[in-house]
Amino acid sequence: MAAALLLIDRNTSLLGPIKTGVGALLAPLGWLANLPAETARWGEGQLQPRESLERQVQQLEQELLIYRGKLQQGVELAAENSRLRALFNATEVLSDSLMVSEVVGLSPNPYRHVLTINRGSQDRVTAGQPVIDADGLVGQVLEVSESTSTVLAITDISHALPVRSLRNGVRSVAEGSGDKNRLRLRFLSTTTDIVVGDELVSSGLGERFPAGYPVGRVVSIERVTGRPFLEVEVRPAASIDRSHYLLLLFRDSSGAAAVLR
Amino acid sequence: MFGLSVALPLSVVAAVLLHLMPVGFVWSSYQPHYLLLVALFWVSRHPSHCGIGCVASLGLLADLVYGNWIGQQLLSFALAAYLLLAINRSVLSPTLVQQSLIVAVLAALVSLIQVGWMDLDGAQLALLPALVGALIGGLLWPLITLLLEPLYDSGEIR
Repeated sequence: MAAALLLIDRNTSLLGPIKTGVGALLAPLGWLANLPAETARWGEGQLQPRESLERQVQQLEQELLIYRGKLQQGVELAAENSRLRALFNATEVLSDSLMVSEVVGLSPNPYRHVLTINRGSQDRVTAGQPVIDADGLVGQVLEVSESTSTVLAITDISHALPVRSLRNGVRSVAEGSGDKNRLRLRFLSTTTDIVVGDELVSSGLGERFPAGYPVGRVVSIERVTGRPFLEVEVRPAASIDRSHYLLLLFRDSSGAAAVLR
Repeated sequence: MFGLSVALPLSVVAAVLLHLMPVGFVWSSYQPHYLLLVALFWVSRHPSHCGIGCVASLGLLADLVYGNWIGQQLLSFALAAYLLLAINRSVLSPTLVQQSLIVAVLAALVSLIQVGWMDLDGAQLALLPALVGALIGGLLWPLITLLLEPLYDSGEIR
């Protein structure tokens, strides 16, 4: 029976609804399991002295000011980019709206890199939606229930995404390795121009992930004798195992980027 | 304290809660398999009520909780229960240390099967976390028996 179930589950999506149903049933347990951590965080906030909080707010205000200054420059560059694209008759780049979400759970399976976030179908979250953190791409929404969703991290072994090098535009596919600090680049021939330190961003091919979001940095390149392809390791840009807040990307055809509540 | 119909689900819910508790990716690799430990406890203490079928269904639950391919843990849980019953037939009244050792070996076996499946899927081998998790499971066994023993009252006169 186990073998039959395995075969069915590996090769078809027949058991998908059962998995989704059980996931929805386990959601309250997930909330309950997350309660001690939430309470500890709340207690930590309550016990922090007023001076420390004021200092923190001041620091955040300064950071906000710096980012706003940088954003002004970004707006100018985006406008220039848009004008140039218009000159070349290229398609308009869509803006992304963002929604802040909180990580409320991790997959209990140490070999799967799946996170649970506190946004679901009631927040218009859909399966396949890209998720980022402050540093780069984290993954994509895997399953959506009413108030929570699961996110498949880019480091999971079942995940792959198209990337390109910022230095020279070389395209490849970054596969998860099962190690939270490592991605693998596949099918790069031994003559490909790629060096350690190259930054990789999403290429936008496949239309699942928008183009231009940081994916990682090449940390090692190995040429194995007798193999036609390079063994390239990439360290993910996102802090997949540390980020507590994640951003959900919503494609916005109106062209206006916004922060959704 | 409770009948098996209450004690078993209670212990299973507690094990699932421990699994779902966010502990970070690093610790989650070394975490013992709480659900397996609970399943082994019930099959070792009350094999007439919770046998291989019962443990296999807990394996199915583990597959669903873990997000594995359905059937992976069902198979390994059933195998662990079968081996435990076979060992129990030959080692009569094992001491707590012997029990811990048996549980650690069975947990290691289940973890290694899991690692084997992941290897088939192309993941890198994570043998050390699997074995450390099993060892921690063995060390936790006395605590688990201490917590679960009083939970179930079989109604037998001792």
